Amino acid sequence: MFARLKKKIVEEEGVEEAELSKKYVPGSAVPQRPPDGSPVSRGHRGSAASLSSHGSSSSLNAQAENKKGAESNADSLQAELTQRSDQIRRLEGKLDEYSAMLKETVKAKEKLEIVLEKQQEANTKRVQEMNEEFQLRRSKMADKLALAVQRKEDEMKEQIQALEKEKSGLKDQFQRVSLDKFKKQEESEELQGFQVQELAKVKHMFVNSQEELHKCKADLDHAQEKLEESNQQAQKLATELNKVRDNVTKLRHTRDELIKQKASAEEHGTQQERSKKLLEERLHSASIESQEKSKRLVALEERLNQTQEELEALRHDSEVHKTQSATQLHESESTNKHLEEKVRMLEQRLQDHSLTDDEQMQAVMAERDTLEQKLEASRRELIDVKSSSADVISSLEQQISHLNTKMAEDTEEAIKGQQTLDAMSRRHSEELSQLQAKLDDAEQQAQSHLEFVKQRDTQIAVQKSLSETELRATQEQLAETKKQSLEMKKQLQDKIATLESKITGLSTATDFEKSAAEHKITRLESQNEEYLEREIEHEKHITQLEDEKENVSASLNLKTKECEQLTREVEEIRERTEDLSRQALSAGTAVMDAHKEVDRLRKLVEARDTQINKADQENEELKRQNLELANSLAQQDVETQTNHDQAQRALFEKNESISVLKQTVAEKEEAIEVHQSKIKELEAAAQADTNGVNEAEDIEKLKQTLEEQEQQLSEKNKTIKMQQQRLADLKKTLQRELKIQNSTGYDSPEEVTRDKGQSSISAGLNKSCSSPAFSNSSVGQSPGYSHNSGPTESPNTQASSSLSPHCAGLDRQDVREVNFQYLRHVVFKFMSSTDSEAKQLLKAVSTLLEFTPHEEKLINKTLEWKTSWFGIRPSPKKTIQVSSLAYR
Amino acid sequence: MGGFFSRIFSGLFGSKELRILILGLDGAGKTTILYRLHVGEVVTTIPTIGFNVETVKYGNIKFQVWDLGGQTSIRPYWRCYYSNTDAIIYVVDSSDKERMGISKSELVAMLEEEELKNALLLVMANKQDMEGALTHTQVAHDLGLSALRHRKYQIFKTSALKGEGLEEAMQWLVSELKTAQ
Repeated sequence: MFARLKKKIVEEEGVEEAELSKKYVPGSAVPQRPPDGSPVSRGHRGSAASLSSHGSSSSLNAQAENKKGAESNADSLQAELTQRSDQIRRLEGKLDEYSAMLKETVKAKEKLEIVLEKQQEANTKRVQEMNEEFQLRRSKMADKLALAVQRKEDEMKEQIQALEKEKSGLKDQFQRVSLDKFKKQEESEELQGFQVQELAKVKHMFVNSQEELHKCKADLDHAQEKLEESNQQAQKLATELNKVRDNVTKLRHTRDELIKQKASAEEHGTQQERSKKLLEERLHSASIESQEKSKRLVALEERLNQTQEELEALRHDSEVHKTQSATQLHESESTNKHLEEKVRMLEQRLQDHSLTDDEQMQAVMAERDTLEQKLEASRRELIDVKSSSADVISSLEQQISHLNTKMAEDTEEAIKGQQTLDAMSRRHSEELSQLQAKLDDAEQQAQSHLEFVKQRDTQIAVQKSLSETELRATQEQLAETKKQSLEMKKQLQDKIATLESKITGLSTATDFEKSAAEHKITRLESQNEEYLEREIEHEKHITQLEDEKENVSASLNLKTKECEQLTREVEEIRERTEDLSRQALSAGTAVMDAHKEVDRLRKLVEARDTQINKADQENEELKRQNLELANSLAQQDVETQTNHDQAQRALFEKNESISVLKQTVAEKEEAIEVHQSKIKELEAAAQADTNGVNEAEDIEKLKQTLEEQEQQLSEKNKTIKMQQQRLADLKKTLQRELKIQNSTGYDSPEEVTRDKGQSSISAGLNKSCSSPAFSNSSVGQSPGYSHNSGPTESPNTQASSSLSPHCAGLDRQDVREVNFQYLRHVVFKFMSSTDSEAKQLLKAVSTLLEFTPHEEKLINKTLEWKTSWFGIRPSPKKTIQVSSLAYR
Repeated sequence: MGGFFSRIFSGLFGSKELRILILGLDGAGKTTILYRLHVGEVVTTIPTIGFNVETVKYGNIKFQVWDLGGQTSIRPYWRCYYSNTDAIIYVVDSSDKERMGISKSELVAMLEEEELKNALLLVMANKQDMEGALTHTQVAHDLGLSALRHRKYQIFKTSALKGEGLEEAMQWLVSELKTAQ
C-alpha cells in the first residue's frame, strides 16, 4: 500500500524534476548534481549501510531497520501475545473494517486532491486574471499610494527633519550641557583653586594681621611703656616743676632777702655816710686836737726851754756845791789818806823797831815798797786827779764859756760891776793874787773840774742829744701821729673810698645782683615760662600721648575691630569656602543634575529616538495603512476580491476538508489509541491466558499495519506541510513575478511585496500552527523547525548574497591562496566537530566553497537527519520534487 | 544518535549550551583569553588562521566559546558564525592605539548585523598589564560604546596574561545571560 504510494511519488518526482529545474532555477548557473554525487553527504554517510543505494531503496532500508527494531520488541512480547490471539482476531476484523474505511478515505482524499488540483488550476487561472486586474488596479492604487506615501513621506521627512533638528538641538544642548558641565567642573576646579588661593591669602592676611596685631601690641606696649615713661617723666617734671616752683619761691625769698639786703646795704651806706661824717667830724676834732697839741707842744717846748734853763742853773748850782763838796771831801779824804799813811808808817815803824836790823832793814824795805807803792798810787791818783782836773777844767772852761756867754750877757752888769769890779778888781786883784794862788791850786782843781765839766758837757750833750732825740722822737711821733692821722685820714678816705667803692661795688653788686636777680628772675621766669612751656609741652605731650594712647587705643580698637573684621572675614571666607564647598557640592549636584539632565536628555534623545522609531513605526503603520488601503482598494475591487475570496474560500474549504480529514485521522488515531489500549487490555488479559501462541503472528501483522498506517499518517502530514510550503513558495514566486513586472513602474514595490510576503508567511504560520494535533506523534521533523526554516532562509540567502560580492571584490585566485589555510582548517574542524558545531560551521563552509542556498539547505537537512533519530534522509531530488508538487 | 541523547539529557538537566563568539583584531589576545577561560592558564599561541572552539562551563551554564581568527583576510568570514549567537566578547588591545579606529569600525560593522541583534556585547580592554595601555574608559570612548543603543553591553579591563578582570567579566556575562533566559 505504501509502496504503491511511494512509487507514485517517485513517478511524480521524475516528471516534476525537469519542470522544477527549468521553472525555479532558470537563471542559476548551478548544474543539477546527482544526489549521490555530493561529497558532503557521502562523507557523512560513510558508516551508513546504505552507502551505495539511493532514493526509495534507502527509505526501505530504513524501514527494514525499523522492522528489526520492532521484531526485537515483538520477540519479547510474543510469549505473552500468543495467549490473546482470539481477541486479536476479533480486532483484526475491526481493523479490516478500519482499513477499508481508510482506503475509502484515501480514495476520497485522492479524489479531493484531484478536485483540489483542478480547483487550484482554476484558481491559478482566476488568480492570473485577478492578478491582471489587480495589477491594473494596483498600478492606479500604487500611483495614488505613491503620491500619498510621498506626501506622507514628505510629512514624515519633515517631521523627521524637525525631530532631527530637535535631536541636533538636543545634541547641541547636550553638548552645551556637557560643555557647561566641563565649564562647571573647570569653574569648580578654578573655584577650588581660587578657594585654596583665597584661603592661602586669607591665611597670609590672617598671619599678617596677627603679626600686625603682635606689632600693634608691641607698639602698644611700647607706647604704654613710653606713656609710663612719659608719665614718670611728667611726674619727674612735675616734681622738678615743684622743685622749680620751690626754687622760684626760694629765689623769690632770696630776691626778697636780697632786696632786704639791698635795703640794709643802702642803710649801711647811709650809716657809713653817717660814720664818714662822724669820722670827718672826728678828723676835724683830731685836727683841732693836733692844733691844740701843737700849741701844747709849743708850750711844752717853752717849758722845756725853761726846764733846760732851770736844769742848767740847777746844774750850775749842783756843780758849785758839788765842787765845794768834792773839794772838801777831797781834802778830807786826802787828809784821811795822809793820816792813814802816817798811821801805817808809824805802825810799820813800831813793828820795825821790834824787829832785828835785817828785819828792820826788811821792814824799812817793805816800808819803802809800800811807800813806793803809795807813791805810785799817789802818782796814779795824781794822774787821775789831773785827768779829773782836766775834766773839771774842761767843764770849767765850758762853764767859762758859759760864763763868758753869761759874761757877754752880763757885760753891762760887768761894766757896772767893773767899777765895782775895779774896786773889786783891786780887791779881786788882791783876791786875784790870792785867788791866783788859789788859782794855781784851783787850776789844778779847775783842770779836774774841767774834766768833770767836760764829762758833764758830754753828759749834757748826751742828755741834749737824748732830748733832741726825744724831741725828734716826739716830732717823729707827732709826724708819725700826723702821718698816722693822715694815714688814718687816708685810710679813712681810702676806707671811705673803699667803702664808697664798696658801696658802689655793693650798689653795682646790688645792681648786678639786682640785675642778676632780675636776670635770674627773668631767667627763672623764662625758665618758669620754659618750664611752663615745657609743662604745657609736657601736658601737650601728655595730651598727645593721651591722644596717641587714645589713637593707639582707637587703633587698637580699630585693630581689634580689624581683627574682628578679619575674623569675620575669615568666618565669611570660611562661610564663603563653605558656600564654595556647598557651591562645589551644589556644582557637583548641579553636575549630577547636569548628568541627570544629560541622562534625561539622553532619555529624551532616546525618547526622541523611540519617537522617531515610533514615527518610523507610524510610517510603517502608515505604509501598512497604505497596504490596508490597498487592501481596501482590493476590497473595493469587489469582483477580483470576490474571486480571490472565492478562491481563498475554496482554499479554506479545502483546508477545512483537510482539517476534517485530519480530524477524521485524529479520530482514527484516537480509535487506534483506543484499540491499542484495548490491545494492551487484551494483552493484559492474554497474560492471564496461556493459549494465544498463534496470535503472535496476527499481532505482528496488526502492528505492521499499525506502523504502516502511522507512517502513512506522518507522510500525509508531511505532504500537507509540503503543500503549505508550496503554497507559500507559490505566493512568493507570484510576488516576485509581480515585482519583476512592477519594478519598471513603481518606486517602492519591494516593501509592498515584502509586506505581502510577510502577511502570507504569517498566514502560513497560522495554518501550520493548527497542526500540533498531528505532531503529538512526534514522528519526523518537529514543527518548530519547519517554523524556523521558512523565515531563516531569507536572511541566510541575503547574507550569502551580500557576502559573495565581498569575496568577489578580491581576486578569486588570491582569495583561494590566502584562504586556503582557512578553508583547510574550517573543513577539518567541520569534519571533526560535533553536530551542533557542524551546524554552525555549515555556513562558513558553504560560504568558503560558495555553495548555493539549495545545496546549503540540503546539507543542513542531511545534518538534521543525521542528528535526528527517525526521519527520511533528505535528497536534493526530493526537495525539488516537493516544491514542484506544490507548484503543480 | 548520541547528539540526540545528549540533547535530551541537556534538556533534562537544564544546562543549555550558550554560544559565545570571541572577536577582535589580530593579536588582541582572543585565543589566550579562550584558553585562559578553558584551562585556566596561559598557553603559547600562534596567530589563529581559522578558529578555536571550546566548551567552557561556568556555574551551571555551558558556553560554546568560538574564538575566530582576527586577521584582516579572514575577518569577512566572521559573519558566517553570527547565527544563534548569545553573546559576543569583543577583545581590544588597549596598548594598540593606532588600530583603535579599525577596531571600532569592525565592531560597528559587526553590531549592524541582523543576526546579532539580540546578542550581548562584552568588551574586554585587554593587555592592561602593558605600559601605556589605555584605560577601559578611554577604550570605551575610542570605540564609541556610548553611542550604542538597544544593546546590553559592558566593558571590562582585563589582562589575559595575569588573569585579571576575566572573572568579573564572565560573572557579568553569566548574570546577564541568566536574566535574559
